[in-house]
Amino acid sequence: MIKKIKLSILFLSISFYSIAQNAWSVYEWKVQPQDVSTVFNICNDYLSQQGNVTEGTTVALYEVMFAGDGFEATHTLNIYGDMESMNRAYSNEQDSDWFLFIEKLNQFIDPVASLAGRALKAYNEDDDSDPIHQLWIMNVSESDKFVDGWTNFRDKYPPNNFIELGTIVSGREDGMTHYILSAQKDFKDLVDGSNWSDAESVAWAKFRKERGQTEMVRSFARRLIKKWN
Amino acid sequence: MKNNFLILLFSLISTGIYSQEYVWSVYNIKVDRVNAGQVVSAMDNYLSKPGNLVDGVTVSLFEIMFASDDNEATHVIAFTGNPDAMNAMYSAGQNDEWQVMMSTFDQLTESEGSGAGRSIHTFNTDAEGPIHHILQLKVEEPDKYENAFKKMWTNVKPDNRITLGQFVSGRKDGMSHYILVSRDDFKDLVTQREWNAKERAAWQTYRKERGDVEIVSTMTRALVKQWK
Repeated sequence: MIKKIKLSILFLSISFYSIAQNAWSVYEWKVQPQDVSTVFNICNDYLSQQGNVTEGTTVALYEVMFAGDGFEATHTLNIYGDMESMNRAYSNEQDSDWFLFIEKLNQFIDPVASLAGRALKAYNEDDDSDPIHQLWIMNVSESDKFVDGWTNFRDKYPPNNFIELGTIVSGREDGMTHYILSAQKDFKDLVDGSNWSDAESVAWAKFRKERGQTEMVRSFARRLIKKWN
Repeated sequence: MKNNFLILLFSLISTGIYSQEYVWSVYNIKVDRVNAGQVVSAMDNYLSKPGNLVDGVTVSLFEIMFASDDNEATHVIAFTGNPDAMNAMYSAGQNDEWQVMMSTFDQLTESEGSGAGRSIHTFNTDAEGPIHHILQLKVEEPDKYENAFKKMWTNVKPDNRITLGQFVSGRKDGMSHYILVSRDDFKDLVTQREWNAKERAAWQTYRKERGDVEIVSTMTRALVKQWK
């Protein structure tokens, strides 16, 4: 009986870990203000049609709210889902509708960059109600140390919102290796400081001390326009 | 007699190791994705005709899947081969068919830079996948880095083909070396290999012994078509 419970716990742990192994890709675009609604309509027309979004994946269009100098994109199109579904999305043959979609889009967007990566650990990942994403893009020197430290901290003090630690695999520049994404409900939520307890502040300081050399490459915020799945 | 045999064996092994290495040149182009088919056709028309592709040279057309914002190209044309074959290609005259292909390129593509270089250490050549993930590096101490890389992947068998190489021409942003890892699909690209204790130890030694290195950027390309 004890063995069965242990096996169940192990299975649940593995399942939970697997959930966090979501993959994603992001296409960053520069869109002129007068073309934003056209770009939205082109995306909506194509992505709302049945079969154009691979099952198990979500496609989301965001507008960039705040970003430092040098960040050229105004919008991002994000594709995310579990690893198998994402793999299927990238293995599918592209039909004439897709080419038409790309051809239309290319008239109104200026592609800036494209990236791919995966989540390492996420909390409240099923709650995607918060439309604003704050992202911290970092250069982490010792990945294991950072991930373990962050996970220990977050396990002890679980957040109420969707928070994800992940790694950028392709499309990296300026030393970026990892990111932390924190979902926020509105502007106030975005800019309000966290009301941490003393114990939480002490644990955070400990994590910062023990996480190894880490550099903040950039931070930016984006707001959801629409998602399709 | 025994000595001669050993020398012969050593020579064959050395040739075998060397033969994995190659030189290369790449041409980065920007092409509207709906015109990509015409680019493939133009290359196919030229490269499929006997005599137009130099023996020993492989030409590959890749589509860029993911790249940072300083990359404007959508596609890459890569030439690879041994130094003599590549030299023969760059010494050959250009015929009318070449001019026709280049005329199509002029109409449909924009040049986004070119480069040339060589591979230094390649492992697991048999496990070649259609996706190439490339880490562009700024290496401070090349000898140290190259030795550490060789030691690492001699001790640990990579899942896929992996190459350490050097940029010779077309360098920018301080990049000096690259690591090219081939991948089978998107999942293979973004999934991390599970390391055992021995492999983790080898990785730590590699990190310790390789000297200062900076990843300038990473990018991924997928094979569209190859001619050889």
